Amino acid sequence: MATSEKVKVNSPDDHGARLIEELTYDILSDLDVARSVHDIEIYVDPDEPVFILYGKLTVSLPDIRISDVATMTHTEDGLRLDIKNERYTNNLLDRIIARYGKADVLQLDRYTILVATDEDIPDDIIFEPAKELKRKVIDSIRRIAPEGYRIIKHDITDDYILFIASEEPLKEEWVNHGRRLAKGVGA
Amino acid sequence: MLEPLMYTGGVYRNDELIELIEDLGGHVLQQNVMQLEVVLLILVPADDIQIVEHKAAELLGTITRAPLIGAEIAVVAPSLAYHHMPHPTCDIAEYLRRKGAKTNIIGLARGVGRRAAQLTKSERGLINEHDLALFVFGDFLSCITDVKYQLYEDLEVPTIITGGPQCDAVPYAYAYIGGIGRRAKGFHRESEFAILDGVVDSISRALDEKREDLEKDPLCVSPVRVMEEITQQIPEIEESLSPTPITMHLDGMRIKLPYDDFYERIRGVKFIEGPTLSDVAEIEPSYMRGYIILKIKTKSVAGFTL
Repeated sequence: MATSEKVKVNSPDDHGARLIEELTYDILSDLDVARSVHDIEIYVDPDEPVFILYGKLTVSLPDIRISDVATMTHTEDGLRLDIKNERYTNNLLDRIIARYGKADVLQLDRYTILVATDEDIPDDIIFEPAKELKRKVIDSIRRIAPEGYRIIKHDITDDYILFIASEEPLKEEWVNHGRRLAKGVGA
Repeated sequence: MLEPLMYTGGVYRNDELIELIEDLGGHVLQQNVMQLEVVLLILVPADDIQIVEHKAAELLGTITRAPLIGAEIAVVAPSLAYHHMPHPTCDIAEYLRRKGAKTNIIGLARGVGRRAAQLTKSERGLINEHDLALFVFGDFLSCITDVKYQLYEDLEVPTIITGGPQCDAVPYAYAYIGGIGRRAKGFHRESEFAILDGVVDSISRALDEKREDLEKDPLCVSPVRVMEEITQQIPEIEESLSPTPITMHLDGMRIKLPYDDFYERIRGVKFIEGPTLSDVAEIEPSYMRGYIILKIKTKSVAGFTL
């Protein structure tokens, strides 16, 4: 068993467990999710063969709405959006182009967008950090799991992720093992 | 006895070095010009190394020993997915190139996992065309010792295995080098380079043994001489866009021209002593892009030496 503050790996092969622990660290930090997942427990047994990973997810940022990114003003030329947070400009443009069409949206400069409409734009969500985080976490876990394990069952909520993978059809005992980890009972 | 060396220096006056090597009875196997820098892979008579080193110093270049020159090595990964690439597969291949080898990275179609891991016929043929195969495996000892040998047990070339765990030997392999395994980061530390040096040492040993075997029944003509005759008699080889249009093997070479179009002309390459290339070598189509594989016959098979 290889244990550290962040990752605990159980395996009948001790040396393999240590290598998987190191790999997990490297991949999580490479993909910028090292601070988003914690208390990771992995059980891997190549002889079964099974790979189970359980990790707690940190609370992510709240959803980003149009009003968080830009202020709206009605002008003679149409609705003017003054961008106050440039980081989400692409998401904002995608959303309003999808709604009004490319012909009716004009970006005058970095911070100003003009939309040919007299109505207010509904204050839609344009970026969901929680969804993005889950995508990145799943991507990193698929890189950690052995490549041949292509039969996958996963369970992801706002609080945790449970990932079970194998080369063979998944057995009930492996799923139960994963659920025990999720309940915090341990293996 | 020819010594394999690598010269790195500027383009200016580099032709003087090439002429010197040829005058000494050596050979230039590969010349890579990168803007103002040039890298030469050369074979120089062992007694004359000092002369070449002296000339290299005069041209402000450096000479290093490159023990893997003249060998083509297959670096085989279970797949080309991010589980194996770019670390460690590309790192190993790059390190071997710096030691003079020509490396080809091969990603297997069904190399992953335990149950389905297997080698296809074309993969086996392609790997067997090389001088040596290096397999890059993962972190678990039981996988490497109990299962993965199925991938390389039938190969005809010496096989070297790398993996994460430490162990003395694995079945059917010439050597096993631990401490690599699956990696998500490059080789940066001194200790990590020591592992790569261990890989190079094992490969050098395996190739030396292969060379000793060849000396017991020597080739009827030196591969370098065949290369020079082909270069002179088939000028189209210069038009090949490959960095090494003729890739040397210990007992032959890969000629990067289409087999169907050039088979007859390659067969007809003449030696000044009389025989043609078809008398001294077996010429086969390669599994790699329809190129030509040439295996030089040994003295006992051909019945003469040139």
